[in-house]
Order: sequence, then structure tokens, then C-alpha cells
Amino acid sequence: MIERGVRFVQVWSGQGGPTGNWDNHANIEKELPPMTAATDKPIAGLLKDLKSRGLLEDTLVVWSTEFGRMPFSQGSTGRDHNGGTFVSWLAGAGIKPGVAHGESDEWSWKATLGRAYCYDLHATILHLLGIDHEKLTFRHNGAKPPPDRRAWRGDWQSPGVTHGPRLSVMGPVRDPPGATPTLTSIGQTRTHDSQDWYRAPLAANDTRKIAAASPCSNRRRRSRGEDN
Amino acid sequence: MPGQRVEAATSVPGDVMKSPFEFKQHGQCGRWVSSAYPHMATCVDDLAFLMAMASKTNVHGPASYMMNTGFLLPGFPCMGAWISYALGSLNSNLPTFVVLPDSKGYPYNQKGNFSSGFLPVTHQGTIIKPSAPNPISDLFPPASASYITKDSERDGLALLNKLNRRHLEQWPGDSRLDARIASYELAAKLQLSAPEVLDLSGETDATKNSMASTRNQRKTSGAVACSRAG
Repeated sequence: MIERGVRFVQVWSGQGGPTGNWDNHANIEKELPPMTAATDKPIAGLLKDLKSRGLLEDTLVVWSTEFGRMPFSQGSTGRDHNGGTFVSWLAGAGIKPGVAHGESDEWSWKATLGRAYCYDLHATILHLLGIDHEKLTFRHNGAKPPPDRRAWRGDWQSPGVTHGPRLSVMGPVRDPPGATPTLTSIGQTRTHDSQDWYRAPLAANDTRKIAAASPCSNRRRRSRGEDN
Repeated sequence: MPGQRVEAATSVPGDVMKSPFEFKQHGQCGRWVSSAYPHMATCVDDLAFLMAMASKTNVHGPASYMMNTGFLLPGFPCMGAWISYALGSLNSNLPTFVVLPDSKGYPYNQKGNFSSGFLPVTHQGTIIKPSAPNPISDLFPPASASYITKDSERDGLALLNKLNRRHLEQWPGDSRLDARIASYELAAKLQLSAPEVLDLSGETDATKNSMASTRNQRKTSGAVACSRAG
């Protein structure tokens, strides 16, 4: 599908419910290996295959989860949910390989250094796609743009940055004349014209611009019958 | 944690528990990887790890919405929907945003994780189940419906399109019907393109073997996980 130009492929591992997933409350030693075994070789194979076909150059692969597990036990051998810290990884276009960003405390209980929320990950993914995430932001009640409270708390690596990647895992931006590689998480976009990203990549029959997209403005557009 | 209050989402915290898996350093970067990931361990030099991700909640539903949409509550577009909306399609014969769920079932929040929220419904994820007898639901008539011929199907779709468009004239601005019409049109194209895209027989044995899950060789020859449920 990636080869044929599907932009975004999201693959899920694990079902909702008490079994057959990564939600190992009862017995980590028994419940986790089937999940890793079902994904370990396929992921390694995918990365190697993308690489050998040259697709990893403009395909971003992201592995993530909604939260991690606690350093202490639940029952005797399970672990409970932990929103405090967990690990994600990225690979492919625009990503610096073999690096790490951030650290948890020594217990793996809470993120300490370089803590990143999904906002930071999403902003980084959008940046790699050539999208300025600030243009998708609708600020509630006139809240000021960054640097804001989060920046002062030290969550960001670069508090002064107003948009762009929020995580220090970006490789050097490759910029061949007239084009920027624009890669997505878990899927891909092809190269598109660099400067006017929100115009060039849209389908030929689609004249919308993304700059106005927000819940409020969209609702307003819809009420004026401008949607679609 | 000395002096700090320790709580868990669904249980009373037990003792600190060591990992039951052995960790070793791998690659030039020296990344520590557990024995549960022997193949991934060979790829660490290609990966960038985010070692300090955090969520605003430790409850599955809201946390999954947050991971996919950036919001704790339902009703917002997920990443794939935003990308479809922002960047459009590269191949009009295939959906822009495809979701491959675990063959065992949907994650927490079910299809809510693939929602287009307030964006036009055409941007929601198209669900494909590669290992199911019918990877894309309702794309082809069931085998039992022998009375459906190519001609009758084409006539039926033309009539449906006519009725839908007449209905749309009465209800302008409702993206759900637009999405349904677009979905039927895409389905017609998919009838031609999907079998080829989903056919793995053209892949070499080396490619198939490189991705075959050690858990179940038969079922997962093409699938790779990118989002964990739970």
C-alpha cells in the first residue's frame, strides 16, 4: 500500500479487553512474549524491506502506545497502567538514526528529562510532512502562542521555537532544489514542492487550504454551506 | 520515589518488580533491548527512541484518543484523517488513510480511534483486514448472491448514485452523504485495484519470511504493528 501511494497506514497490535493485547495486568512473563513475538520480526522485516526498496527515504515509521506500565507489580507478576513514562520510536525519512531523546527517573515511574507528550510527537510528525502545526491550532480564549507555560516548565528542548519539530530526533533536513522530502508517520507522502506545502499536495480538484482548519472555523464554514 | 505518593490506575501498588526479561546492549548506539525483541534488536541503529513520552491519563479510552487525536475526549480527527485532509490523495484508486486492525479485534475505543471527527467523513480510516476472507467489507457481492451480475451491479450503482444525489440536493452541507457517495465510487475503483494490492503472492519468499511473525507464520505474513492497544 505504501508503494502504491496510500499516505497513512495505521497498523494496530492488540485488541481491547482483558486478553490478547499489551495490557498485561496479570502476568508479564506469560502475557507479553506472545505480543512481542507477533510484532518483533514483522517490524524488523518491514524496516529492512523499506530500506532495501529505497522507501525508507521518504516513509516515516512510528511505533507508539497510549501509555506504559508501572515499575511495581500488580498482584504478583502483572503491571498496572503508567501514563508517567513510556517509550516510542521513529524511523525513516527525516529521522536521525540511532539516537534517543529524554530519560525517565531511575525507576521508570515518571519521565524526567526531555519529557514529551503526544503534542510534541504530533508536531514533529507534522513537521516531517511539511505541515506547520501552528496553522492547525485554534487557541482557546485568546491564549498566547508559545513560548508559553509549557515552555517555561522546561518540557520542550527549544523553548523559543514557535513551530517546527519539538523533539531532538530530527536529522538534517535534506532540501534538493525545489523539493523537500515530506514523510509521514506510519505512512508516507511523496516529495512535494517545498515552500507552499498546503497548496501543492492537495488533489487537483481540491482547492481548500488547511490554514483555516479548526473545530470552530470548520463549524462556521459548515454553517455557511462551504464544507466540501 | 521517596516521600512521593504512589498510585496505580486499577490496583493497589505492589513491590518494585524487576523485568522478567534479560536486557542487553545492541548496535553501535548501545541501546538496551530486552530478550523479547531479538529481531528488533538488530535495527536499533535505524531508530530514534523517545525515552520519556508521557500521557495526561492512564485510562485506556482517553489515552488512546489522546495518542491518536491529541485530545482526551472523542470527536476530534485522528492523525490519519488530518493527513488525508491536509495532503490529499496520491492514488485515487486507493484510500488515503488505511487502518489495519489486529486480526483478534479492534482496540479500545473501537473505530473511534480512526474517526475524522469534525472533518468531512471521507477522511476517516478505511479498515482493511488482510487475513480475513473479505479483507474489505462489502466490496464484492457474497458468493451466495448468484443473481448479481456485473451488469446488474453497474445498473444498481447507477440508480443508487442517482437517488443519493437527489437526496443530497435536499440536504446540502451534510458531509456524511458526500462521503458515502465518494465511498461507493472509491469502492468501484477498489474492486479493480485492491485485489492486486492485497495479493502477496508476487512477493519473494525472502520478503515474506523476513516479516513472518514468529508467533503465527500463517496469519501475519504482511502485517506490521505500529500502534499498541493496551
